[in-house]
Amino acid sequence: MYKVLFSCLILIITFQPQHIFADGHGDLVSGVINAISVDENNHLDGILLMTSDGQFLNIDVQSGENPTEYGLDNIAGERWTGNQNDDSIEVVSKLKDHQKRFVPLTILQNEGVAKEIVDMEKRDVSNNLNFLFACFAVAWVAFFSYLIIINGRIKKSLKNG
Amino acid sequence: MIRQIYLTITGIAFIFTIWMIFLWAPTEINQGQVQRILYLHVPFAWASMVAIIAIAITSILFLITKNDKWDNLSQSLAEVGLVSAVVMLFSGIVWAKPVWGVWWTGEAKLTTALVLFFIYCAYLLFRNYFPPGNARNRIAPIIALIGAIDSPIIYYAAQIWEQNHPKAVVGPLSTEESSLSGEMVITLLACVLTVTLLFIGLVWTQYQTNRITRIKNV
Repeated sequence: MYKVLFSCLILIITFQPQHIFADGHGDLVSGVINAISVDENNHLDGILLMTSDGQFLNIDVQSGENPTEYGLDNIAGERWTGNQNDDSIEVVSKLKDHQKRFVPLTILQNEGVAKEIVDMEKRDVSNNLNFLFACFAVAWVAFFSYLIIINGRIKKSLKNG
Repeated sequence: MIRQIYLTITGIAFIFTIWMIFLWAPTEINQGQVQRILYLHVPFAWASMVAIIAIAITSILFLITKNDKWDNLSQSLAEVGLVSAVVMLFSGIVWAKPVWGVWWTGEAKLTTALVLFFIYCAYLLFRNYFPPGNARNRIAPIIALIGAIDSPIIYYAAQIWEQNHPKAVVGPLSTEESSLSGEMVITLLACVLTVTLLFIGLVWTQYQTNRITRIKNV
């Protein structure tokens, strides 16, 4: 059994994807809005984002089956949520307000198309890896310790027999 | 032989879910990497809650039939259930600190989960240190029944009291707002399945060990 498990582990390590984290589903970009484009019916079409390193990035929004989702706070800190299918006109005024106040946004995007547009997270989310490590390490130690205890009991029973 | 094959399948599923958790499931936008604790916390919570209900059922079956196999199964379930409850509580505590800013808070879901842990402790202490006989056989199922009542309370706590703990992300209680989607839900369901396989495998092994010990003692 251990040989099979070890072989599987080697296979996974050998053929693992190039990226170590699962961020391949979309890239996160943060910045402030430079310009907002709307179509002839005043529906949001896209935004021009100035990223924190001074680059300009064109971000389109999408509607349909997987519409772009929004989570934007107003000046009082109240959260407004919506999506491109239902709120494509209302979001324009929300984003204009953000542009006026220079509020930084975080956008989850894939090849220039936004999946989620939200107010920028002020927490350093990557700093929580130690908690993740501690949690998984202790869980596996607990379970493998229990396996060793069971194994010891089996050996003891067989020895006595 | 069957047990060996079963444990091998469980081991492969275990490695596969590790790959899903760390390399396949996307990073949650608000919590970041720490949200991956979900894939550990929820399956072990599920295992510990289902185990206490199973203990209550097997304890009652033992009372009715007086067949030792039910008693043996109760004990095996309780031991593995306790380990699951410890993992659930620990992962919850570690997750709470970066997300809520505190290790522990006295809200309903956490308190009822802690009660479940104490019920497991009480059940095992009672079984191991109380002299065998009718009194033990009658009281142990009562402790298990209290745990079985606590189990659905834990599940519904976030819906009833609506405090810090998020609502159910999968299953009948999940709403459109609270539910997971895409790769995250697939990963979570795979983890639940793997932990269930692991749980059954451990109970199975523990049951066989207890059976051999009992036969020898007789």
